[in-house]
Amino acid sequence: MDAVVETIGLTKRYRSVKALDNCDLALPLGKVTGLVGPNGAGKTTLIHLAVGLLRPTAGSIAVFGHDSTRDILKILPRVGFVAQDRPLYGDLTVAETLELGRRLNARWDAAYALARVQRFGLPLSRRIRTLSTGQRAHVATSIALGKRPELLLLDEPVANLDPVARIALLEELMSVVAEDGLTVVFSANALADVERVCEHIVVLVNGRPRLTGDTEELIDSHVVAIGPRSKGVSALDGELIEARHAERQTIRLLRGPGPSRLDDGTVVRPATLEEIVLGYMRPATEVAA
Amino acid sequence: MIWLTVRQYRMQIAAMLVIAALLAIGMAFAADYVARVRAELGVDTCVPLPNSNVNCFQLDNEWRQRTGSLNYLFYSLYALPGLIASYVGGPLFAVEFERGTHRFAWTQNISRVRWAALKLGVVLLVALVAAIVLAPFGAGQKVFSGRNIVSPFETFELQGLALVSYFVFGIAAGAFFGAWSRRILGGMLLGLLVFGVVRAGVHNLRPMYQEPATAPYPYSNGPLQTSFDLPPDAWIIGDAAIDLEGRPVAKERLNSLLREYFASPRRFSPSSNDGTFLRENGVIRLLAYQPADRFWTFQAMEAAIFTGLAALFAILTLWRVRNRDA
Repeated sequence: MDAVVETIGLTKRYRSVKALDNCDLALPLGKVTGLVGPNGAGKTTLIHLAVGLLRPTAGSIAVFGHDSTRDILKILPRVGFVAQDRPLYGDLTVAETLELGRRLNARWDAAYALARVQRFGLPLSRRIRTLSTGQRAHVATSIALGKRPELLLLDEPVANLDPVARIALLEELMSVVAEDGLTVVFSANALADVERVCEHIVVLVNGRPRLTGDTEELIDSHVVAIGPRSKGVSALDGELIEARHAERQTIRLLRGPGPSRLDDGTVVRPATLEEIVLGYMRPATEVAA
Repeated sequence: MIWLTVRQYRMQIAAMLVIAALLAIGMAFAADYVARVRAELGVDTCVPLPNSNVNCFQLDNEWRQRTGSLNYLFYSLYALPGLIASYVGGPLFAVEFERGTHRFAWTQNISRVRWAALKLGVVLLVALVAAIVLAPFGAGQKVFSGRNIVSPFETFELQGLALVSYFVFGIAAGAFFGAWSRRILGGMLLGLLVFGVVRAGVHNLRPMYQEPATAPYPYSNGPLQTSFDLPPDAWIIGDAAIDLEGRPVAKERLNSLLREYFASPRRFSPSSNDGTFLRENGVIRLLAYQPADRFWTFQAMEAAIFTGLAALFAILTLWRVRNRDA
């Protein structure tokens, strides 16, 4: 697998808090990767390290093979980045924001960025601060895409958007990906968004990747087994990821083929992506549901 | 980036330039008007009445009442660099950090140092132009003294290179503290505070920029009476003392002798004064002053101090921006 972002022993500490802890990770080129994990898992830290906004405490992170600390100016022209809350200059109009994109980037496709902004019906003379959250999101992604990047890095791109705007933005992004063969990495809290568009998933927990893999592979390799409540480890094939005990039954997430035949009435079915991700995000111990 | 800074700060830029232009025009007219009123009232040609000079005193008073408030135009030059430090310098970087827009700017295709240098450079340049517009007019404040010869040192901080350097220093200091604290309010308050403290500190250092010249202390009575042979435009900075061989004497000794003299009954004797007492104790009292022809040297030294500090703050700002986590 060709990696677009590669980290080796990447560690980032804020005073006493470790946001990323000795993290080894490779994000695939040419795919849409979703970074998921609970708040504080290190998603934003990882993205900020990739675009040089942060420096690693230890270890290294490379984008397109260039070190983010030393060679950030070799990386930035090839990366479109939208930070959380989509910061833009509120005083500027939409047209001025596009002009700013042109002036700050050597590689800039003005016609493309303009067409994109117009497609969403954004009035060019409006100031950014008077736009709705959804409109701002479109301007911010238009600037990021106006660079004609090879990698698009988005930190919570659909946060605070209503469901319609959320789906519209994601679908629009995916159509760009399909056309241009762009690599996308985005972080998200909402699993539904990840499920809808991601081909590859990284689950970060406590500053470390708990699970990485292609979505389809993950779905194929996990099962959910629902059986009578029991504390002990059942004779199930595969690695137990999580077991939750309800009043009368136990729900287990398993990695592996799953049991072929069971006598105690346990039902086995393929796991959904949401079940897999949640299973890995929660503590590995057995939890009472 | 220049375009962005000009666009972002167009109100502040316009305000700085318009205020500077209006203030310069105001000061030019005020200086002229104050002198004209004095001439029209005939304050300087007043002939005292045979038994009292109260008529001339009243004329002078009337002149002061009619023109005194215009002094505030000139006094605003003391406040202006501090206000610019606070309102323009303080938020320059802090506003980006507070609103997160630095994350947008720093991930376009421009280095952080270039971004910060151009931003600071544009605003510094505008402040420089505003200051240069104002610099020739502050000296006009001397008309309020009513004297023909006024030491240029009396308007030292209102004019010339010094004034220009205060503007530059203010912006750089405000920018640094804004970048350092990441808070608009922090930049504004610390910028203003540090500007004020440094200005006051350097103000106290200024008399020592060069070894002062000395002149005999003018005694108005007693046998040592001397004419006041100090140049009329000299800047008197205080006492000095030498012994009979011309070696410097410590201030403390001079002061203790003077206290001793004024506590003794001798001070009522018509045949001696403190000067004779000092001389009996081997001390000659002098006046220390800076001659007016040192004015531009002092201006250059003052400007060098503030420009140097401005450069230091600018470098610290760039360093901070380059190395900080965002």
